[in-house]
Amino acid sequence: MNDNTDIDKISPRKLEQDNRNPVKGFAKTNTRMRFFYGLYLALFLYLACGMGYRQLYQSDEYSKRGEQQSLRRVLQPGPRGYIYDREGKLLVGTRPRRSAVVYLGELRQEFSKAYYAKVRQAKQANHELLEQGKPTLAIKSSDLNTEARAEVLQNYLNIVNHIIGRDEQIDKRTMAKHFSQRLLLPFPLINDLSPREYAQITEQIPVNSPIQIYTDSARYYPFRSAASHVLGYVSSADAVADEDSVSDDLRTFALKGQIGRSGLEKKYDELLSGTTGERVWQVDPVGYQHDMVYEKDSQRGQSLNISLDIDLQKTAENALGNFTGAIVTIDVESGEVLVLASKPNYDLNDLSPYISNAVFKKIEEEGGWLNRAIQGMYPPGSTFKVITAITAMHDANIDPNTKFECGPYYPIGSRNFPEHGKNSFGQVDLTKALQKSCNVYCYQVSQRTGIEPLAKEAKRFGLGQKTGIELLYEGTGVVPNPKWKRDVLFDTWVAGDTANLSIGQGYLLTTPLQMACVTASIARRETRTSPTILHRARENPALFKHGGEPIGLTDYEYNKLLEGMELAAGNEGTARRIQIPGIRIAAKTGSAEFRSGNQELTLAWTIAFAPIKKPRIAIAVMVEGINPNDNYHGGSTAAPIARTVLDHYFKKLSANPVFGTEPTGF
Amino acid sequence: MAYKAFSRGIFYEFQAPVWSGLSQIRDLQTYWAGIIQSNKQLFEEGKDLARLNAAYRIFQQRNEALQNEIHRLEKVLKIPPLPQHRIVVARVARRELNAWWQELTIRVGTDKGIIAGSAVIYGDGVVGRIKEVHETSSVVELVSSRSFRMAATFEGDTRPVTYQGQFNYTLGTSFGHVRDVPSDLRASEGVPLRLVSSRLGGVFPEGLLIGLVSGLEPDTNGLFTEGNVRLSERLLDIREVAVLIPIEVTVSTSDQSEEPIYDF
Repeated sequence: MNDNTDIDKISPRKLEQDNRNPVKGFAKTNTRMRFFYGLYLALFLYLACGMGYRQLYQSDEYSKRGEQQSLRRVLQPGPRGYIYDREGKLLVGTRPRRSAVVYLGELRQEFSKAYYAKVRQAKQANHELLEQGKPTLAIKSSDLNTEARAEVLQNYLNIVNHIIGRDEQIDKRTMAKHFSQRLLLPFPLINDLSPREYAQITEQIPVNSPIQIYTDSARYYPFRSAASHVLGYVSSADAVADEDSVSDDLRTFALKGQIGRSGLEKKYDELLSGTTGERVWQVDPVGYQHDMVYEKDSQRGQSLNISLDIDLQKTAENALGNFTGAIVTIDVESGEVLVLASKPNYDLNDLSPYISNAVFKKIEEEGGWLNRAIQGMYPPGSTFKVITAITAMHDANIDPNTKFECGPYYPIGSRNFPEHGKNSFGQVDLTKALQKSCNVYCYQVSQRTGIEPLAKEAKRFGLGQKTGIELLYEGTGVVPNPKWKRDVLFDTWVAGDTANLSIGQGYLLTTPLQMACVTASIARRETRTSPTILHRARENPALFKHGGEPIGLTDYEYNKLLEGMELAAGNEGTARRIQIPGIRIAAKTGSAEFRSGNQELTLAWTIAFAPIKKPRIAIAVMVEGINPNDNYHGGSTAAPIARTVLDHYFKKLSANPVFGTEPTGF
Repeated sequence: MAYKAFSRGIFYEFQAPVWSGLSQIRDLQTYWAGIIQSNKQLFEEGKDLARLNAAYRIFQQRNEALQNEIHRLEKVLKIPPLPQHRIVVARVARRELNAWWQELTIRVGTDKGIIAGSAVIYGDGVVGRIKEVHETSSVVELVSSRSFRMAATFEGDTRPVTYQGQFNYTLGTSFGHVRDVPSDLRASEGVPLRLVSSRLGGVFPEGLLIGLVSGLEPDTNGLFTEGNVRLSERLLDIREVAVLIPIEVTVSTSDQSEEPIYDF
């Protein structure tokens, strides 16, 4: 009742006035509104300033960002450079690898049509299910899109199939991945077309068809497995933009290029790699290409001339046959490596454009990945006796004519150290020791010199150190001494260790390349040879310094050393099977034993240089036994192989003086 | 689309007899131009013609002998025989040469069993490919046309390259473009390379001259070289061509191979 009374008290006129002007209470003059006016003004000013800031001050940045969103960069790797041998024969080239591709941008309308057709079909199917009173199927847009794309691409693939007589199918997973990650790049329908297929597609597909031939390159090795460890192989890798690229900030699609994985391909990857080309495309919001706005061509990488003589290399590898081993030959004057063979090897073409699991496994099982010429470390056996002989003359002042009584063994401490074959050579001087490869002579010399002069001399000739050849993962070898044995084996050095070292056994380890360098050094009467795999790296070989020092022997001593090595290659010597009529050869054989796993295996070595009067070529051959039944010896196994290589070299030298300077002093 | 194609076909079928008639009249003109010459001149030219015919007969006999020898060797060495073609010789009724397309109309069509896509050749080599076939006429896309592409090789080399026609002015020598050329091949003005057809593509027989290449330059990706191909000047003045229609050959089991047999 009271409330009704209050309402009744309000004057009807006032109510009328209030109805006419319902916001009278918020009139302009109302001071409470001023706050909101101010707030509105501030917000408006903030908005205006913000717009001005973005429109005027930040316009460049937004334009750039807009461009970035609408531009895409495609990187095209440059083809790799070639590798030639010392005579300019192509060792590594590139072969075209052609693929039938479609450019997806040109199929946009077809994709949409196919998609809408799929949607209609799906709706129709659901409608029919509904009429039959069955539950409808869910329509998933992404699935229909994938189906539609696959259908369109399969139609194009069918055209190609029909022309070249194949029956290839679109792999939907690969396709979906391509659409999500490489939309701007051509979609490959069929890779690695044969020349016939390439010709058929070229001739029978219209010029303006979305199907085109895309060509990239794969490595090609004309000599297949020859020098495979030296040349190395490549694997595919995304192209990398050059440093001077103008569009680093754009979203980038990189076509596959190649990167060196081993050998010279890896060592000189930067030189051989071409310059990456790039194209900048304007794209639509989905990412399909529209117009090309920038283009820079790719360029081929530089070529490499290496020192190998591929004919000699092939001869060496053939001479090794099915043996496991290595051969290194060096041009004595320049240090250029003419042959660097390692067996087992592998056909490089099997590794291009990629290594299949089967090929990888096969090479792995055969032990083919190891470059035995530079990475394999083996006891050099009796070939080391030339250094023992030099130590005797240079460090122990033992006259070369000094004779030692050499029986079937030599006692050191409580152990008898045997002569090879249990022979008894009687009175033996230095030349005879080298000729017969007398162990007992070396044992006695070693007991006079001691370990340090022997180790020092070995190191003076570069053993126990990398030779510095331009190949990766070169082995160092081991030249043991008491300190080494204490540090590594936690054991003390005994006189027997010195005796073992003097015949190239025990803990001493060398690579075939090191032994070839030792041989070349002795041939030049120096202590070091700096080998190189690059041709013309040493424009004037006669003036080139290998970094060593003179051998430090008198003429008489040096001639005695050569005489011993020549006698070794003579009719009575251990290396007699190296003989080549008309050529004076200095040689030394070696047969070593080494333990691999639980097996005692044999090694056969031969080192040689020729001609003695004016040495041109030095060689080291190593053949590795791979099971205990392999009973290899330097004289019977390695020397004939060395002979084959030297024979080829001198025949080629006589037939083609350009191959080297005029042969003299045979 | 179907309506447009139908209209175009009808229109063409009305046009074609006119072109054919004009061509026949031109042939008649040539015939009467010959007829009105003096008897002595006709007699002399007749003698020349007889000599030429005799020479061609000898060539034909030689070719037949060589052909037989090839067949014999193929059998002995069990080499797959080459594809066979039926040859249809046709007169040119009309030339349409402009910057956009370069075409000939010839006076044979489905009536002579012409098939679209067949190779068309003449004495100097490749002419082009059949583009459209009508009742009594066919359109040949010339080798100089921008939309013409074929597989080719360089004489003495087996590696396939791509030839394509290019923009050509109506008058003057026509050019094409060759790409995907192995980079060890060299060409110069003095020693141009002869670009010939390759049978790898499946349309043309091997060894027909396309043109001469006087220079090659590295292409954009540095893998191959490319260059212009100078086509024969006679191409624009052809009066007669031969269409090579592939023949489906049934071979015995022992002779079965992927490739059909050529029979010229």
